[in-house]
Amino acid sequence: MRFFIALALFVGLVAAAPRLASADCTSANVNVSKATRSKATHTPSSFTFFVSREDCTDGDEFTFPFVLSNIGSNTFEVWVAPNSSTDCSDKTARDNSTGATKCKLVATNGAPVVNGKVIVKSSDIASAIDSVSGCDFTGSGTAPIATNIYFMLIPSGGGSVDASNVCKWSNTSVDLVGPEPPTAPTVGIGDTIATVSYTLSNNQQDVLGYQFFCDPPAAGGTGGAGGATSATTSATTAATTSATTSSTTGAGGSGGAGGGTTTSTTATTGTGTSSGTNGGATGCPSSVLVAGQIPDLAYQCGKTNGASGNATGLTNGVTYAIGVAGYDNLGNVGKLSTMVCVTPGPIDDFFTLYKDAGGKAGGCAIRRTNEPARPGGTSSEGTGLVVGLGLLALAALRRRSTKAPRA
Amino acid sequence: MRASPRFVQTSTGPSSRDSRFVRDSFARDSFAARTALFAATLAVTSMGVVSEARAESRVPDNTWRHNDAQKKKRTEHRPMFAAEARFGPYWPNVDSEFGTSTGPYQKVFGTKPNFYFGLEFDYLPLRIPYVGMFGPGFGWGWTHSSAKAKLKGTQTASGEDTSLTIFPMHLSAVLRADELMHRTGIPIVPYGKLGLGMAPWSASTSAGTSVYGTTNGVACTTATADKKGCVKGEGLTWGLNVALGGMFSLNWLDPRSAGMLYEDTDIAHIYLFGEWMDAMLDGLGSKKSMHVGSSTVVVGLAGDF
Repeated sequence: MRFFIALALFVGLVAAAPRLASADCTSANVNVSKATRSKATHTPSSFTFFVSREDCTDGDEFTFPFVLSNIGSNTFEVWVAPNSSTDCSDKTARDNSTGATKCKLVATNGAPVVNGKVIVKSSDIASAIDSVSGCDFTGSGTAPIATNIYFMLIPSGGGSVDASNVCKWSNTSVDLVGPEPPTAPTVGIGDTIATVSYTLSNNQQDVLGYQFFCDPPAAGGTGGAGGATSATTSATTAATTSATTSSTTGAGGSGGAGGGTTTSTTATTGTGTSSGTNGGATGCPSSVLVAGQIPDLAYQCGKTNGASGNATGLTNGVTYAIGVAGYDNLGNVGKLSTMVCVTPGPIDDFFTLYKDAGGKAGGCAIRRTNEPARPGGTSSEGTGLVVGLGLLALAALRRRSTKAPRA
Repeated sequence: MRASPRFVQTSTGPSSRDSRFVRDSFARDSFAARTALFAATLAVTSMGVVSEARAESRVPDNTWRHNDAQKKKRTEHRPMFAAEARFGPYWPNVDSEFGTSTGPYQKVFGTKPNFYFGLEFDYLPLRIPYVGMFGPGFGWGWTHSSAKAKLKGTQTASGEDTSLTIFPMHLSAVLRADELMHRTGIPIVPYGKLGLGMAPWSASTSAGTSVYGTTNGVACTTATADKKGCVKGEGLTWGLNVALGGMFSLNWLDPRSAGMLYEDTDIAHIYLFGEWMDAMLDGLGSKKSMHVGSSTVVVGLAGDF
C-alpha cells in the first residue's frame, strides 16, 4: 500500500510540475504567480493562458498576483512584447518615437505595493501583437503567436531595466483566427439531416475539428439577421426540388424552426423568388453565411472531427445552405468553405423497409432500468451469459492450475 | 511462460502415449508432401513464437529431474480447452421471414455476403474413450451490412448509410474427436457442435439507431425513439446452432516447434480448420424475431491447451 501511495504522489507531482513551473515567473525583485482568468477556460492546461478571439472580444481579463521587493523609487509596469524576439526591458523597445512596432504598456502602478494584483485585459495583450488591430489578425498563418508579458520595476526616467527587476511571463500565446476552411464540400440528403463531406485543407496545423453551419438555422438554433432573404430563397428552392424528386413533397411548409424572423418567412408557399446575393451556392444563396467569412455561431448545425459528418436538426422539405468551417483548440472558428444546398427528406432505410414489409421485430435489445421487461429478451441477458461463461472459464483454469502444478 | 531454462525437445519421439499431445508422429511422410500442403504463412505465424524461443534455448537439460517433470506434465496436462478465431461469408436470412418475394434485406443490401468474424472458447473436461474431448463451448461473432439508403419511394441513393449489425453467439455442446489423430497419426480432428444460439442485432442510419413508427401523428426520430408508438431498430434473436467441421493439425508441419510451443505455452496443437455452420437464428418460432442467422462455411485457426 505504501508503495502505491508513494507512486501516486510521485505521478501527481510529475504531472503538476510543468503547470506550476510554467505558470509563474520570477526574478530577484519581481515575482508573479497563480494567474487567473475572468472568463476564459481553455483546455488542456497548456492552453490555459492563451488568448482566443472570443477572449479578446468578450472582455476577458488576466489577474496576476505579484510580490515586489527593493521597490525604491521605481514604478511597476506591465508591458507586452509585439513578438517573441522583442525584449521590453530594453528602453528602445518601449520607445514609440521611432515609429517601429514596439512593446505596449498595458498596466502601470506609479506607487507600487509589495503585495498586489494587476489586471490585464486579453484585448490589450492581443492588440500589442504584430499584425493585430483590435481583435483582428491581419497577418498570415493560423497558429498561435507566442508573446511575452514583462512585469518590471522601471527606474525613474524610463531607462533600461536591470534583469533583477524583470519578470518575463511566457505562458501566453495569442490566436485570433481559426483554421483554414476545407474545400470541395458535398452534401447528401438524409432524413432531417444532411451528410456533409469535404476535402481537408492542406494546412492541418491548429485544427481540432469542423463545424457545420446551416441557413436557415437548424431546430434549436437562434438564427439572426438576414432571415427575410434566406427564407424566401429556401421556400423557392424547396418547391423546385419537390418537382424533381418525389421525396420532397410538401416542401416549403413548416421549415425553419427557431430563429424568429427566419422562421416566419420559411413557411411561405414556395412561390417566392430568390433574392439572396451571397453564399456562392446556386439555388440557396444565404445572406448570413458567406464563403470566406467567419460564420455566426448561431447557425451552427453540427460538428465532427474528420472529413465528413452530419448536419443535424434540419427539417425535411426545407432547403438549406450549408457551409463548413474548422475550429481550433481555443474554439476559434475559421472561415466558411463554399456553400452547398440540400433539401432533407425521408429515406427508406433497412429497418423501415423491414417494418413496412410486415416484420415484427425491433425495440427489444435495450431496456432501461425503469422500463418493464419486454418479450424477446434483452441484451443485458446476453451480457450476463457472457459474464457467466467467462467466470466459468476462469474457474476451470484455476482448478486446472491447482490440480496440475507446473514442473 | 516460465522463467526457468527452456529447452528443445530432443527425445526419441513419440514412444509413449503421453507424447502424442506434443508430436503427431508423421515423420514418415515425405518432406515434399509436407511443404506442398500449405503455404508457410500460417505455420510461420503460429509457430513464430516457438522459433524465436528455440534460438534461445540451446542449453541441453537432460537430467532425470527434468525428464520426470516433462513426463508428469504431459500426463496431467491433457488439452482441456480450445479456442478459435474464424471468419467467412455470412448471408443473414432476414428475407426468409417474408416468403419468396424479394425481401427488404436484398432490396437494401443486395445478395453479396457480409464478412463474418468470430471467436470461440471451449471447455472440454470430458474425454470420451476412443472418441475425443467433449464439453461446452461459447462462440461470439460479428457481421455488418451497410449500403446507401434510398430516398423514400425512389431508387435514388440518399446521403445516409443504412446498416444492420449482428452479433451471432452460441452456447453449444462441442465434441472434438481427436482420438483419431492420437491413435492413427492422421492430423485431422473432426468435430461437431450443437447448441443454443442468440444474436443481438441493430439497424442504424447515419443519424443513429433506426426508429420506426409515429408518435402523436409525427414520424419517430432518434430523439423520440422512446415515445409510445416508436420502435427502435434493435433486438435479440434466439435459435439453434449446428456446426460440423474438421481441423488439420499444423503440428505435423514442424513437430519440433510444436514441442517448443507446448513447453512454453501449454498449447498442445495449432489447427487450421474449416467448418460448416448453420446459425438457425429465427426466434425458435417466435414471429417477433428478425431472422438473422446464416448457413455458411467458415475457416480459421484453433488451438487446444
